[in-house]
Amino acid sequence: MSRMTSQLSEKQLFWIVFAVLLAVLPQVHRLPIWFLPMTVAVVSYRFYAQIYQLKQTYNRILTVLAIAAMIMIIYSQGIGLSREISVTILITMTVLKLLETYTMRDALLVVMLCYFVTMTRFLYSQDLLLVFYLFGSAFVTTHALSVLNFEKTKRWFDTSQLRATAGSLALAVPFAALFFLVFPRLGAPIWGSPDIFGEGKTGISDTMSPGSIIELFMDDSPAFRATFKDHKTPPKNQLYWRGPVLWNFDGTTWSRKKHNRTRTRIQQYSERETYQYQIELESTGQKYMFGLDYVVNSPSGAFLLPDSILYSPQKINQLRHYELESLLLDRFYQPLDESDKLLLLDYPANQNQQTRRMMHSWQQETKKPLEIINRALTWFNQDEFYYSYSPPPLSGDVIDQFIFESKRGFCEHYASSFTIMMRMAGIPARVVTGYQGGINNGEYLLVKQSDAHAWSEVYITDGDKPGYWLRVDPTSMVAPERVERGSRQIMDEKRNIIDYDWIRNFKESMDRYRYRWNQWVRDFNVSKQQALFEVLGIDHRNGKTLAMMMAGILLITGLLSLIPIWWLNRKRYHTLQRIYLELVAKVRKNSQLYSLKNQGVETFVTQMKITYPEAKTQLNHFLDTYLAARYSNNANERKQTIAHLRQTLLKIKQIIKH
Amino acid sequence: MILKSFKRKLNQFINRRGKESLPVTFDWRRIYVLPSKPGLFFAIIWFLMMMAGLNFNNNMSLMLVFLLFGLAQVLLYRTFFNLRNLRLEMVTAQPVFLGEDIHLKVTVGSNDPKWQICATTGKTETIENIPDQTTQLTLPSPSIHRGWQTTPRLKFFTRYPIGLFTVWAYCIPDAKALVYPRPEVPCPDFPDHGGADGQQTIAVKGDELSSIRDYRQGDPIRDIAWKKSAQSNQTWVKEFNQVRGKNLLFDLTQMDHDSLEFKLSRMTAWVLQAEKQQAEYQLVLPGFDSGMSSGQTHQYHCLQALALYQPGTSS
Repeated sequence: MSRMTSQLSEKQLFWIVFAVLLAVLPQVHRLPIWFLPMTVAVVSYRFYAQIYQLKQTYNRILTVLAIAAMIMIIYSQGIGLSREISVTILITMTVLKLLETYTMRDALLVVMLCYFVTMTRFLYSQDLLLVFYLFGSAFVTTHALSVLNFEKTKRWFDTSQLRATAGSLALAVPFAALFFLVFPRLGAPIWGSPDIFGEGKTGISDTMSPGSIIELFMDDSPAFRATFKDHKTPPKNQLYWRGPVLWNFDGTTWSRKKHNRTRTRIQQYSERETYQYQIELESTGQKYMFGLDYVVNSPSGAFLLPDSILYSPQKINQLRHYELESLLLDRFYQPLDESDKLLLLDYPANQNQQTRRMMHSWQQETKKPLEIINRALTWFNQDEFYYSYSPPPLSGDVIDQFIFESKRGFCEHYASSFTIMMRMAGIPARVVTGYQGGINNGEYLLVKQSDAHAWSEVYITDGDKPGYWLRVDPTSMVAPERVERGSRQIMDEKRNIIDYDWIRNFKESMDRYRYRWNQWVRDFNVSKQQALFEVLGIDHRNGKTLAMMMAGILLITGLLSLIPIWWLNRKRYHTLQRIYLELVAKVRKNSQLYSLKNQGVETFVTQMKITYPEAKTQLNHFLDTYLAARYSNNANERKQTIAHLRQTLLKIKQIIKH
Repeated sequence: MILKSFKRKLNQFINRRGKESLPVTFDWRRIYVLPSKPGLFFAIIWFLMMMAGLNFNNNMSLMLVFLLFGLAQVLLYRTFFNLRNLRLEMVTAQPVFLGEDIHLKVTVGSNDPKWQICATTGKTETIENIPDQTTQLTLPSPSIHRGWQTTPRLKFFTRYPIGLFTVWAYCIPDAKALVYPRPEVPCPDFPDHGGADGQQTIAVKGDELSSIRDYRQGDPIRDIAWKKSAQSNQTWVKEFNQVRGKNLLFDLTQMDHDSLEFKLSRMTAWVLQAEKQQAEYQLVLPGFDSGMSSGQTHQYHCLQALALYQPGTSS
């Protein structure tokens, strides 16, 4: 077919490249570092070749380039068939394909691949804002196809053609919406697992080393949303969302303890004390789930570890919902093993001698744990400690340096130092990481990554009484507003150049739409669909009913999209034709005369004069005026003539009526 | 075998309307729709996307997938409506000589603008837009035999706007084209078998040697320039001219050759040559006598007679 081998014009090439770039560039941050220069080189060369009409390079060179690209991919991402690598290969080859896109066939192939490449973006994230990308990319790709098929004009942005493409897409939207809701979904994947497409965001991790939390302070993206039952929300300073609990300290890094047991549910409590809520956890790529201290029982599909962490068997790579119930206890009674106790009293023996000496001296003065704790908190409160997001870097004896020299830091430093101080004083203690606070966004509470926090938990035993865990947040001693109002509020300097209040506020109110989006679109699955079918009264277990319904919807949406197209394509008459048709309509009853209507105005009027001789002069006048208007070039004059023609028509009507 | 009979049946079905008198409006009953090759490729990619989206229950992927499906449906209608109510108004063709392409002038019309309407006779395609009322497109079609040649089946198709679907309609218009016999090239000398006296002087074969030229089939042996031919690799023929004040008579029955087509072909060449030299000439075929004349109309009559001559029709 000659059409398939025809050469591309510059405009066509421009639209192809536009579609490819739009499909590829949103993923550039995940791709190897050489990808962007390669894309720029390929696109520039292709345009250069188009302008100077260079022939396609030898296939051998293209093969070498493709192999080189494959080697580069293996070099940067390793070998294997992981999602990362396959998407990278697809994207790289789509870009390289531009080098041999000289004919219509290759162009069509590349442009249609763009749809697929666009789709791979959604495997990584399904954020609300990406819906604009979806429509934008679909529009540009479809328009590229349209331009490949037909160039209405030579202009690069032809409004009428752009509008036609936009119209086609707009008509497709209701169809897409209906099919989205009713197209039968799969309950479980046929191959692979949805988890392999994680969205790659990491929240709090299960280790804490210097600087690991500060990264989160910079990130305003949502960590999770909590919807409280009956809008019963705890006070802000009680909102301690428990994440990984860290037991081991090696001098710089805190890490967690591996457990082989689970915690039992809290037995004695009254319904009124509990808070019931649902959490919508954004993907983290980790196995931790967050809950308000202290959760009563594990939700379905998760374990409750002895240190009250919620732990999911699979990595959380998709939006996850779970229901929780929490008791806001200030003392959590739990027995502690001797081995665990020893673990919680451990610290690097040959480090931080200064702190150790101080703690020993404190221990000499009082044996009561609570007094030591209070003394430490007073120490933090009264001495010259500052809350700062840009503390001086510490190394070596980090606790000593922090407590006696720099005295500047944020929750990470305070929690870490306080916990070690307690251990040195013989009080079992551990670091708890998680989030603190949240923004009340109307119906739900938004917790952002920047709400990340770390605090301490000490184990108090008083004689023979059962021991209990006590939450101590040393940061609140230094900066009480951190706990009262949120981390961002106590920062003076901007975190980055666009860190303005109104942008943050906008982002927070945007999150409300994101929440809806998550509810209705991102998290739509087979169970929600079945609920919908049940509401509609459709038997979703019966394949035949489903098939019938699909066919019905296909038909209905088909007809629905047919109507606007049919309307756009309806027969349209210009003013003169309408006047003529009015004249014709006058003689509808005279079938012989009426049948002459398609033979032109002159024949028709001549015949009409024979039938109605009494209107002869008016009819003559009508014909003259009609022809004058038909062949007049002056728009103004034409308007007048048409007005005159109308009058003549009225007269004729009157005469014929008599 | 089955395929062949199926094809025959299919063609019978397509051609069931036979020859149609124009104008013909292509309404929905005569329109065929199938995905085009790019459309099939689109379908493959779409299917892969849908499988991926369903497998991972990735809702945004599925949104894109369903949007594309809706888009395909809308495009199907757009393409269909782009052909629907196309009017084939007129098919005309200038007479041509056998061997040349008949240039069918196809007039198509429509009340609404139509784009990328493609007409084809099977081998060649012509693409035209109909932005307003009517448009004429030229469609070359090979001439097969002398005489009236019926117009082949015309196919009108469109892939506008995106090219995912081909929408087409067939029509065999009741129109025919006249094909003259192929004129012999180069033109042989005029015959010397009579004709009325005339006023004009034209060059015919005579006694005076005027030039030497290449040998052509049918040249008499006595005209061969033996001497010159012996010197070269070619055979040369002496050309004798004589200025004669006679009019030309071309009579089929007086020609001596086995093949009728050859004779008609030579006579066609003579007619053309005589008209070119503005000589008066007369064409006599069994059952046809043009009379002695010249001019466009006369030539037309003669050529038409030559084109339509059938050996059995002599009076």
